[in-house]
Amino acid sequence: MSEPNSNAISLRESYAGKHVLITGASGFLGKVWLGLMLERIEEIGRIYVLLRPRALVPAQKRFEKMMTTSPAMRTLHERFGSGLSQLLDDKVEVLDGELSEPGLGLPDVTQRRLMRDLDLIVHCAGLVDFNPDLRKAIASNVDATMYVADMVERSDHAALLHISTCYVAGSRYGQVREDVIPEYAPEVPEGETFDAMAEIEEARAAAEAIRAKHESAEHRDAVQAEVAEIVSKRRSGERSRLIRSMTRRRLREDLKQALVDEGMERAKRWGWPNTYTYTKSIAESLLWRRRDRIRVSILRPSIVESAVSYPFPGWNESFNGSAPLAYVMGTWFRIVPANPDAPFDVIPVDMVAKAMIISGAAVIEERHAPVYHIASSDRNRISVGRAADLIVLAHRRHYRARGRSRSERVFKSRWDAVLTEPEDAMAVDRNRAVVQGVLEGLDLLPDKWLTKARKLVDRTERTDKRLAELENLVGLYKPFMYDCFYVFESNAIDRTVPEETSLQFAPEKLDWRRYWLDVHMPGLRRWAFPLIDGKRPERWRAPHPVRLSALPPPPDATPEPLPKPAAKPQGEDKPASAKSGSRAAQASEG
Amino acid sequence: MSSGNGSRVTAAFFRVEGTLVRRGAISAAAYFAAGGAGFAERAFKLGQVALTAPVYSLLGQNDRTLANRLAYLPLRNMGEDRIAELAEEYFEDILRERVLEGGVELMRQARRGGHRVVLLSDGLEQVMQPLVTHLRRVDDCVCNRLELRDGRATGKLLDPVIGGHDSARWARRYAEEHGIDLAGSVVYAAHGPDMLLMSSVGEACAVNPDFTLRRAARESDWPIVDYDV
Repeated sequence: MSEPNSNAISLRESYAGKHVLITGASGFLGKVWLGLMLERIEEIGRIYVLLRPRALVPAQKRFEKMMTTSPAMRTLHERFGSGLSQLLDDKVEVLDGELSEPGLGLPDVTQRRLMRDLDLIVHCAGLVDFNPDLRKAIASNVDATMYVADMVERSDHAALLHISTCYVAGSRYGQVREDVIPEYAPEVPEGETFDAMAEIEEARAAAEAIRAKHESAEHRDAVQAEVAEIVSKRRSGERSRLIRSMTRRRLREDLKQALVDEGMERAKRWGWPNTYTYTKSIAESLLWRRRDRIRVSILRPSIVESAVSYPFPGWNESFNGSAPLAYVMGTWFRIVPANPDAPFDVIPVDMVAKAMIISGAAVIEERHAPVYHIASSDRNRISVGRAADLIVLAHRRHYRARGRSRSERVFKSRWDAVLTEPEDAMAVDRNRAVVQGVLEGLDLLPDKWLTKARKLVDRTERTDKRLAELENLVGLYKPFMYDCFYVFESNAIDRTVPEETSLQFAPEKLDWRRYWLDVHMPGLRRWAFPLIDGKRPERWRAPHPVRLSALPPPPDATPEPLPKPAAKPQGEDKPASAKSGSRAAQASEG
Repeated sequence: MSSGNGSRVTAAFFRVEGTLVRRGAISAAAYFAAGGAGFAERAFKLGQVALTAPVYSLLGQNDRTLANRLAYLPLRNMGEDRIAELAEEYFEDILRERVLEGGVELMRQARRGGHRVVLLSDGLEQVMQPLVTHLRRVDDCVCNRLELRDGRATGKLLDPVIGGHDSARWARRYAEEHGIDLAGSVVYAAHGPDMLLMSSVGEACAVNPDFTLRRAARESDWPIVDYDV
């Protein structure tokens, strides 16, 4: 007789009767997790979905709309039909919350109920833009995580599964182990030490100083004078309203840009490629300080991409993965700086959702690993060169069959993108330098000639703007495509092998050619590229709209003081209330 | 191995090039070369094919082993994904329209006659897969295979290279492995280098033969079928 597998775990048994709260359920990853849980773990006790209400739209309405119109819910509708609303009434409770506020913005009564009932919090929310406003990134990725940890710490028996990213490793070369290095920074300058809490407080202070400077009267006057000079050159007559409106816009844009630059500078100083990975890593460090007081596991996916099977092949809602890059490689611009031998670590969203369910069960059962890497580079590696070739081939296939014009069918289909060194003569920054040279030359023309050459100036400005966008994109992706060589060790997830075969994590079974050509690229073309083009992707609406019953009044409405988290060491995990940018949390999942 | 009784399996061997499709190795190599990654690579590879083509036609009258090796040399360093995609395209763009109906009819007749249908091709396995699916009811297809290293073609063909004088030896080995009675089997071929293969089986039929094979067929009293004239 064969020995029973000591790594085996029954997910259905582990989740039976358990109460799980998820943040970021409206995001790409959160939706797939929610669908899988509802469809395949029928024994789950209750799922609490924390959503931020929007102006005049309570969270429950947002949830109903999401369940009715998101294609990610299509298979749920196919399976449960008109009974889905009843299932959701039985299994799901939607909470109006705000992650970047203490207590997750929940009423005391709700907090008490959750602290009593919750078995697991899956913290999936976060701001996934690579270079966001620093204040928003701190509020969403650091403060929100700390407030969730507060809730876990105060609860009776809840544990935390925190969704982070593999790329917290920062600028690295080689194997990245599945562990947490306390107070980690990829490149600490000699003679300095990295203190996550001190760094985040410094970043907060720097952001506040930038805000104060940009909102000062002197700065406003200086910008207004600059704007007035530009306007007076190009317009005659009454200009004061135009100047005021342009000044406001400039001030807003300058402030945003300054905060974006500050975030990127701070991140790069310590060796992270962008603000996203910088704030995510700091959140991990701060969370790790509390590991004695909370049961926590960190799940780090790599680049989350189109679903391989659930909810259906090709489902994608992510714009920070390979979508912008794949889009650029389908345009006439074809020079991409990249190291063709570096691994390109993508992992389908449904595999990540399955790994979340497995690791969540492991945390509930107290069999969890501290960190899970959910990645493909260690188990089924695909290189940047191969991925780029597959992108090119997918574009070729598309333009040959569905090109709108002869030039697309004949020429664009064969217009392959080429991977080069960043210093290549045809690199985007060189192209842009030429275009800017032309613009400078045009600026020297006498005014009467300039009026005649207006069309040329406009066209050159548009080209410059487009190249600037490409330059920015290439800059954001360069750390992943050229500078670093990551192989993310990914073994911890195998310590708990689900008995439910349909929920197993097996990236080694992926056939990359079929995935990229038949699943991922068609998925991007259907769901992501229209958004990059500024269009709406195809719509879907369930035949039976989801309507949840109104919530009953809470049973324990008597106000009682809430328990406080245990005393903490000086300076630890006490995020300042996010005065600005506090509405940014929960933007989407990690 | 054979059972030794009178009910042994017989096969109909079809040399694909010339009997079932009109295009050969050079056509495929040129298509692959034109689909290389980037314009410089395409130009270089097409140049290689252009140099190979006359050599191929000279060598092709004698032993096609070397000719086939030369034909596929320009695929060196091409990724296997690109080869697979271009092979599907090549079938759709070129081969599908050039499948010879007469050959398909011969295949049907062979099957009705109780033969196992085996295709032998100079073509690459990536090209032959869609063709086999298209032709349907093919029992086996033996074709050339590229050597791949780290997902890229080295430009070499793996042994045995189909198309050369070794085909007769290969047919005997194949017959032993699959329990096929060669004396009761038949070969359909179109080119001179296939004569040894044709001599090694009980029946042979020259289909649209080239000059060399036509002369040999007349001398050997092999039937000649011309459906592509």
